[in-house]
Amino acid sequence: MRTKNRAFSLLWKYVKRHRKRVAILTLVYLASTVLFILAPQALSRFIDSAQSGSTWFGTTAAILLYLAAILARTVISSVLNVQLTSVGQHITDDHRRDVMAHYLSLDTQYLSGSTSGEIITRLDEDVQGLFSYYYVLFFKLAGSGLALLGILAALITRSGWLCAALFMVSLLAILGFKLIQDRGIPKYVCSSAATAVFNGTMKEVLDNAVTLRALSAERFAETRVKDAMRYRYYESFPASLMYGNLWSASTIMQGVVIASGLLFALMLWDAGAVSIGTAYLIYTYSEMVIEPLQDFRNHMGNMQNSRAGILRTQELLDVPIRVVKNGCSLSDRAISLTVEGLCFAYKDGKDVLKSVSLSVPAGMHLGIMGETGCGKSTLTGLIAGLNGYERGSIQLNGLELRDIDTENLRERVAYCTQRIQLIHGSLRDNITLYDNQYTDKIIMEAISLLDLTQWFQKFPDGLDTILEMGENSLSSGEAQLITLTRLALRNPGLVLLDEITANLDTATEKRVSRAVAALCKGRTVVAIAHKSEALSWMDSIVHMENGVLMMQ
Amino acid sequence: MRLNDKTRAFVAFSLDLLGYKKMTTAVNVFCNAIIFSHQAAVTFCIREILNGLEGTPGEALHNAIPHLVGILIVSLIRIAAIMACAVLDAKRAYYYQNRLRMNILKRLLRKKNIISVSGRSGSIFEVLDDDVPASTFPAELLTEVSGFFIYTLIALSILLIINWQLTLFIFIPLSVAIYGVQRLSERMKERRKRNREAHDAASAFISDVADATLSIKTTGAADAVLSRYDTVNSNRRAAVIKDAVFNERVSALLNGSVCIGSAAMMFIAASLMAGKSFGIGDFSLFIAHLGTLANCTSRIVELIYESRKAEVSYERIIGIIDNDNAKALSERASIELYQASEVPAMEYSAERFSSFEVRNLSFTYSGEDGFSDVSFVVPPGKLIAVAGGMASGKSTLLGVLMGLMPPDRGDMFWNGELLSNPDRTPKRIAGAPQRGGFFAVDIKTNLCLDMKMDDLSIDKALKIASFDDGMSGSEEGLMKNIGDHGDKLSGGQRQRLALARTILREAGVSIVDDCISALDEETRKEVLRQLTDYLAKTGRSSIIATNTRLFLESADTIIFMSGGRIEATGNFQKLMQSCTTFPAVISQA
Repeated sequence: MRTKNRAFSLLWKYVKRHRKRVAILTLVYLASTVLFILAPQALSRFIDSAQSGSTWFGTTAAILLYLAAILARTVISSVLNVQLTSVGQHITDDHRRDVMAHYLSLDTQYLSGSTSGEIITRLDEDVQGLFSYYYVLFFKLAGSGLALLGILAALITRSGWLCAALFMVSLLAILGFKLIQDRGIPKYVCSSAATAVFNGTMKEVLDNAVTLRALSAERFAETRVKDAMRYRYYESFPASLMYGNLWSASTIMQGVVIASGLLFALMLWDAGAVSIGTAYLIYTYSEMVIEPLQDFRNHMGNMQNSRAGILRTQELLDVPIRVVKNGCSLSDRAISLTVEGLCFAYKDGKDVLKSVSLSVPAGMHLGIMGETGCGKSTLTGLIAGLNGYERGSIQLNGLELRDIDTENLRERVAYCTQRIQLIHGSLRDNITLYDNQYTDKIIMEAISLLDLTQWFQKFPDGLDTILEMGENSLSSGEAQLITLTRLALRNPGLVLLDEITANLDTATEKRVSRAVAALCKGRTVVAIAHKSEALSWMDSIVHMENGVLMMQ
Repeated sequence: MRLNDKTRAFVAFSLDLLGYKKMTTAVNVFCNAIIFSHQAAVTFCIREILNGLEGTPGEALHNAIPHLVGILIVSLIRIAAIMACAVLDAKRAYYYQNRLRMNILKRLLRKKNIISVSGRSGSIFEVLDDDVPASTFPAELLTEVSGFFIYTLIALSILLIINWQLTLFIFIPLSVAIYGVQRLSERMKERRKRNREAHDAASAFISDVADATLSIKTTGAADAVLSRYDTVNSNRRAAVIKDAVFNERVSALLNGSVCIGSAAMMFIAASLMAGKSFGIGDFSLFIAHLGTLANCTSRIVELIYESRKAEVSYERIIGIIDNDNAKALSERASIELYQASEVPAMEYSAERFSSFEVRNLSFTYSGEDGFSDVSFVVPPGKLIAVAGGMASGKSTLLGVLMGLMPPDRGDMFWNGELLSNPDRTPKRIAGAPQRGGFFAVDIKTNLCLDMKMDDLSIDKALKIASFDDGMSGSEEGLMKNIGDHGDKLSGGQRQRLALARTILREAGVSIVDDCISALDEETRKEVLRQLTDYLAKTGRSSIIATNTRLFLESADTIIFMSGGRIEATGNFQKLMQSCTTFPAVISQA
């Protein structure tokens, strides 16, 4: 029940913004339901008047009334469908934006361990759950429920017993559908898990295509994919029978509804209680119950899926973020850094940093050396504000890091990693990351500041050059140069360098080194590396081992 | 209908799918016909019952009982047909989609330029994941629509028998509607393409954000990224709404024509009913089946719509496997269910290695890292180092030698025999590219891949690559899962595993693009010692790309590349003396 409420309150939060439109649409929807229920009345009047061979006028009026009712309903429902889709898309896109904003503010420790595929699923597909939840809840289930009640209400005046019987049948049908659906959940879970395994295998083969060729081991990939295909088939088979089960149940429902409608219509007719038109009307109304019930059949499953999607998104939104607004600001000059008694552990882990203290005066360059996993990357990550800390203190210009305005911190502290981070698009997009406050002039200044003008010549369309993805495009060194240009656009007072010259060949290393030197000139620098020669240009070097700093 | 070449190719593709499992398809059509014709039977029973209302009140219920029982019986028959269809549908989907997937994958893995595959693995994956089911869907849907069509014919015959003039009359508004729908659907494919592009742009954007999260965070670019996201989303939204408008226009057109058809029919029926020649049951039958005719039309429209969608997907599939390979999509793929899935591992016979020769090899592409006119000979038992700075072309050269891409000019000879690309045999050349190549399975499978190997050979290969780490000899260690893309291993472990795997294949020439950059000094020395020892003992040779002094000093020959050409060849001493640019590329570490 709690999950239902959470999904609903999330939906309400977004629907609220469009409440006027939704209110109007709801009224129109009600009107179309009324038309749906009234139309058969015209049909019944037509039969009686045609049977009795009465006036031409009465028959024509009945036909035109019927025509007007169903035509109006057709047009209204088409317009409604489009309008509801439009509102639904707006709601989803608002939600998408919020989820993305939250995602981009999360501490990095919550991001590691999820592949980009998972993140895409979260950010795009799971968020889509809100749309289908909205659509199914408002339009399909609520609408069908309403239509069902309207039909039963219309019947109650003709035959209370039939109304009661159809009410029972509807209730049983909905319960039956729900039961089948619920029993199917584990089957669906099984099926989607197998699909995930299959997709993973396929993606892996494509990612590793180069190695498979180099080793002439294509057969391995084929066998692996075939195994995964069969596995997926057998695991998904029970789930693929589900719609058959539901359809069968619905066939039974249909038979029972029609038989009972006819039974009551005939009984009333035999008793001489109703006219032939009314008998037809009674039958028609009972048959009309089938359509909304089938809607229930079709959409109850969607409801569950979309709720699951909403909950997964909610999990992401529940992770707290730290954003400081209107906090302290750092001055425009080089920043002094003081770390005192800093301890840090990733969630559910042991301490990676054990009471680290260090001090870097403004403008000084400090190198930290240590093996992989010694905690040096964790330390620079904390100084960059990527994760929150609770024990110990980090001060920039004497201000505690957690009190500094987040936007100001991003502007003034530059963080450069060895990870290649490129996006599909132009060189300009890659340098500015879509931020159009940086004009071409500013970008070119940054490029010449880093002494990269010559390198820049190689791009045929200048900043508009579209960067090719894939292995034969930019080398990791060149990606590094783009990152450095990105950082040089701002005026950082503190530069954090994380192993930036690892894995580069000598020639690129030199170019990168020159650019780094230009970027770091007159600024405070903390650089980490596992090779000592990468730190030769530092003012001083400290060693780190198992989360502890060793002074030299 | 006018069919262009592309559409014709797609139709041929769909027909081939239908012919792929003929019996299954035929039974499926039959079952679908039963499922839908159930409605005709029920409607007929209802007509008989309602026509009974014309008589004297009191006997209608009694007369109706056989027909009420009939309704229940046909329902049971329908249920049997539904379950049969569910099973058949699952099977057809499996065979149609997976045969196609397998054939695409085979083509991709045999592409002359394999780098174009892994470089676009994201978008190729999308094709295999989304476009494959989308392209086979019309063939899957066709059986259902055929079933419905059969039902419609039955319904139509009943209507014609009851009153043929009336039946023909109601066709007029409906045929106008069908014409309108046909006109609308002509623009369907183009819109489908744009819609697809808007969706693709959105997922590509999210994927970029996911990949560059750290940079976006640390440069404070979140707001700029979010506003770009808004633009991408609003494009997609516009496409979705346009689609909805189209669908609603089609359905309004059809439903509207049914309304008008019913009204027209009612005018005529009124006079017939007054003359008692047209019963209330007949009237209800006509009302019910008018819907059926419209329904059949909208199902056919749906099939056309899905086909247009599928055609776009089919073109994307053709796009990734190249046009002239379209026939390959319907090859046998041996993916039968109910057969042993475990294919026995291969045992390739070894060939004695005497020489590997490269003659005037060139590879130039749009980038600057190509090379031209490279020739050399590799004798048995030698360690060859390829050295060179950025843009020297050394990585590209190794790629061509490994068969990752075809050379523009020049040939390669193995024991004097011309080597073709991509059909190579594993025992001749085995390569380890710079990155990747790990499967989320145990170490042993990652080492052996498709070959059958005994533990002794595995241990030996691991030892040569200094990948001991408590691994050799312990079965448990070898069964350890190395995680997604090998991320449970360190960078150094991955490099050594790649080296061990290359050696394990016992190829005449092993080619390794950087296997030591993440190793410490001690391990490097050990790897070098083991490797030279192994090469000398077996008479096999190895080509390694490296600028590391340690390896360069021990190499039998260094091929020093600069600007895409061989600058100099010789051993370390010779190059130090004769080549002035050589010392600058040497990395001391």
